[in-house]
Amino acid sequence: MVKRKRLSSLKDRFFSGRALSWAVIVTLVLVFLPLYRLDPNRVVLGPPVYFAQVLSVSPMLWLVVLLGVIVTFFLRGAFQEFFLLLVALSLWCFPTLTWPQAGQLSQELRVSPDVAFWLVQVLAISRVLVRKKASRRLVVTLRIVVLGVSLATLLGGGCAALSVIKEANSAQVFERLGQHLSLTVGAMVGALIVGVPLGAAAARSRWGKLLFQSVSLLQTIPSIALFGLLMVLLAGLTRSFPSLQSWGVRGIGATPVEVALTLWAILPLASAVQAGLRMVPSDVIRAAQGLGFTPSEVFWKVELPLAMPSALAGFRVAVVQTMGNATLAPLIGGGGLGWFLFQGIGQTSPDMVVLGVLLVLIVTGVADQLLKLLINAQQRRLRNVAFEV
Amino acid sequence: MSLLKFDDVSVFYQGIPAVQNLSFTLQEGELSVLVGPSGCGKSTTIRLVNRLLTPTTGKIFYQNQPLSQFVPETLRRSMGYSIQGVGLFPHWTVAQNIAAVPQLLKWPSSRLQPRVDEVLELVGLEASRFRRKLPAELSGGEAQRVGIARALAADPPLLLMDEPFGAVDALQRARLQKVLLSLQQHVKKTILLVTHDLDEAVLLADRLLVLQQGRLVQHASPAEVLRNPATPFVQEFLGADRALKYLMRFRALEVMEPYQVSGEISTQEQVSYDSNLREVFSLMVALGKETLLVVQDQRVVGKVHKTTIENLAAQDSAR
Repeated sequence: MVKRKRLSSLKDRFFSGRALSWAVIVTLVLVFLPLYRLDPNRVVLGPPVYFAQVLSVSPMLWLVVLLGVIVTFFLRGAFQEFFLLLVALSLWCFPTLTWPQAGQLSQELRVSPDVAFWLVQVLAISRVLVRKKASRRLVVTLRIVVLGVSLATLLGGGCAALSVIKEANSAQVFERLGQHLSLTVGAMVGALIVGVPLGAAAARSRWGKLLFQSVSLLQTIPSIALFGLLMVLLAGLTRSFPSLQSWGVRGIGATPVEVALTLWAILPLASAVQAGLRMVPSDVIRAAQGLGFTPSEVFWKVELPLAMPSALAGFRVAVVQTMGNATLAPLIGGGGLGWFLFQGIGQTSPDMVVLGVLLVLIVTGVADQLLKLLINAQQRRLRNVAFEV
Repeated sequence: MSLLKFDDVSVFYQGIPAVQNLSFTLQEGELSVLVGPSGCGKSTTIRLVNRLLTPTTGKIFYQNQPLSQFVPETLRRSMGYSIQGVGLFPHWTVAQNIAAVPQLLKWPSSRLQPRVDEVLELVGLEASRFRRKLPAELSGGEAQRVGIARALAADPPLLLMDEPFGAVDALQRARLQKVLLSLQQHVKKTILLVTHDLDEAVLLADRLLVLQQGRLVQHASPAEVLRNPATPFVQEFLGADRALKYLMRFRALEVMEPYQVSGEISTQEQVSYDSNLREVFSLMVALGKETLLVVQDQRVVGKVHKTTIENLAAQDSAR
């Protein structure tokens, strides 16, 4: 009786069902699926390499990884998350630490991430995302530690031997990143200028609603078709009005991309503004009118602040969507992070494609989280006090 | 001086009359109640006053000037306005809500807080407790009080109240009516109040305006209306118990005979000094008593006889 009780408390402590399943899945993935590929060169795919095989290349280092995995069996919560992230991170830098020393890597031979590698990354990130309350200080601290270590490893060349990283020329990455961000910012400014008044108009007048519906039709035009259309349209415009060229208006390049991205971003933004304004209780508006607010005071002091939460959520959606859409910009010479994708496809280099995808994912994810923080902060401020009386 | 005057005002919605040939004058310092069944045009009438609606024909005068000469917003800022749904601004604190109109009127900020506290106390809310609350943290009755405080904040000469107690339960409603009456004793505003509840109208009004299908059928004091209904419609609207309704206008204090008593008294046989005579009378019937003791501050101050009340009601309907 006593023994069973002790056993169960031991079980509770170390083997909580959910925490255990994370560790089991990660272990199974690492053991049974190929971890890397040894490609003979940039284009040709090579044979898979399993965990057992890399263990023999540099036993000491890989034992550390194994130990990390084993540790995750006995942890739960914040610390399990931490160790899973470390294991995922270690997969990035261990090729650099092992193969060159072992002298097995010729100039051409490349270590590419394979299925198990990516699955472990996905699992670790999922482990982060499933946590509902991320406000505990411990969780935040551990995540910051992981983030710092990752950045340090990356910038310190710790991942240099991995094929995907080899594709990343840092000057190139920053240039494309800059283009990507400027495309997004430009499109969002345009979308704000058009979308917010459009949403407001749609919420209050029949004409606005009609206009809104016709704009939402734009959303149904496939992206490539819209690019093509804009190319023809803008090229025609510059032929008729050559002076436009000095403003940077051209059929190819950033201009048509900006226009297309703006057009796509208008709808989510405008519909969020419209929905927010619709949700403002009608008796609040009637009271404001009856107390002597002018129509513009009703809008700026009452309707807009009350529509803000919905509008900001729509803005966040629009930003994320625009960052994704901006990936298509290289199709008409617009640059941005999509450049890696299309170059990779052109050169049949899977690593370069993967690099492009990774960069887009990271940038979009970071932007999304930053906006979430900003919106939460704004809401808290609004709730505290708008102004003192 | 007449503060507000309607001169043969009619409003048509797509050819259908909402109010017709409305003429009346509001006397300053009086609480006038627009009363009538739903659809009689009472809400239309009050919306005409602050120019949320414009008359199709006829003229309205405010402070002896045609209403159309005022800028609508300026006009509205000079009239308090309280509505059924309250419509407090959910993103502003109670204090900010109350200070809304004074801020539109560009009052110096040093005057805002004292004024907010003053009107909060007027409607019976403790300023220090309620100032910083958000509307979502208020009960229905408290929200209504804040709504009234907001209407009073800029000290307007005229107060418009459109079914101000329509959205609260009977108990809260009775409390709010008392708040309004005691408040009116202090501020002596000209108030135009709309209600479909006849009891409320009789209880609150200095003057009743009874509307029927967009027409003003009687404009008189509650006593006069109850005594001499102008038309069969008014008589029917008042109901068979109009003699009892008349009793609501009096308080126990006003008809009691002074009386002192020492020692224990049964709690059942006493009424509060500010109970109205209809309440007192129904308690007498329920208890089968001929007299009840009147209590103020937990002290017996007098007693009321059933015959006094009966005489009052009978004498009045006989007249």
